[in-house]
Amino acid sequence: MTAEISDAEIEKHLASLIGPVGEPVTALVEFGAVRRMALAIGDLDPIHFDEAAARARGYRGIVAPWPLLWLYFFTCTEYEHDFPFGRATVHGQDEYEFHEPMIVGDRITVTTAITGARLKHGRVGRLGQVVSERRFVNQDGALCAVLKTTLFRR
Amino acid sequence: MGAIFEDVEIGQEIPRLVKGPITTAHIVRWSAAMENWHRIHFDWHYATQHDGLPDVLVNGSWKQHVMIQLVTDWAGETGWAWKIAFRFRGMNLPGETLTAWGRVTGKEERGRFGVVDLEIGLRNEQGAEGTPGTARVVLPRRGGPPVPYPFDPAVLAG
Repeated sequence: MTAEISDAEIEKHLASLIGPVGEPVTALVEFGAVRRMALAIGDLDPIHFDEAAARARGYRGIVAPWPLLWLYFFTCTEYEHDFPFGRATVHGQDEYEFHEPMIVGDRITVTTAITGARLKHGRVGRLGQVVSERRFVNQDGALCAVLKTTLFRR
Repeated sequence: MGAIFEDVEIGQEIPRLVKGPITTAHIVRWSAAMENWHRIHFDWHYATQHDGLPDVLVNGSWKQHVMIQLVTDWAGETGWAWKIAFRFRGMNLPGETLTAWGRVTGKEERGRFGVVDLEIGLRNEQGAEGTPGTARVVLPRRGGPPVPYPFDPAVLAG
């Protein structure tokens, strides 16, 4: 089946993916989740555990390690895409931009969109490339981070 | 405290960060922290029989974090790790020890601050580079103000 679909049909399908994905979702930055993440990555900077230490460094409160973005990625956003071609979907690359730190007690709203989707022809045949962008904004409207994830379909 | 723009030289290596040997416990702990229940990270039968992988895999996001830690440690309290990007080129397995490294590839004065570009990566003991990437860090200049928190790229214009 997959061998019969034309490049034009694939391009049409990929173009249809571009746009918002689902509704924005809001999640609370919990102390337990922050502590667990800091321990999981072995980042023992006290700003991730100790409010006084974090405030002494100028932060509003206990600072979430940036990888906590992935918790909201997995619990707040859709990540499955069906492709009418190819056999495997591979997580190809990620790009981060960091702004306002996420602080325990913050409410982070995650907005997801597919911002790019195109078909390329590589050495081993067709390669679909889909870029999704997640913007993480806190309760005050401050942009905390942007995470761009590229999936390859081949 | 952190790096000062004037002290940074193109070609300079930043202090490395070594993690490992990575065990399955590390992988499961990380998967739980971010609630990623993809079975290739904890189910050996699924990983090897269904997906044909050599073992369960170290999470790509964990590998990225090691490099985020590398860059934020170097930027220190007065700098800001602004942008980081990675490609997933190779898989890493339990038992490996991984070394995060970074090298300065460019530097530019921007207003009262300095912007430094780095190439970064994560090598195993065999020297295989699995996660090459780039980073952009904003640093204070000697005698200048610390990079403002929260960081707003508009400060680079003035």
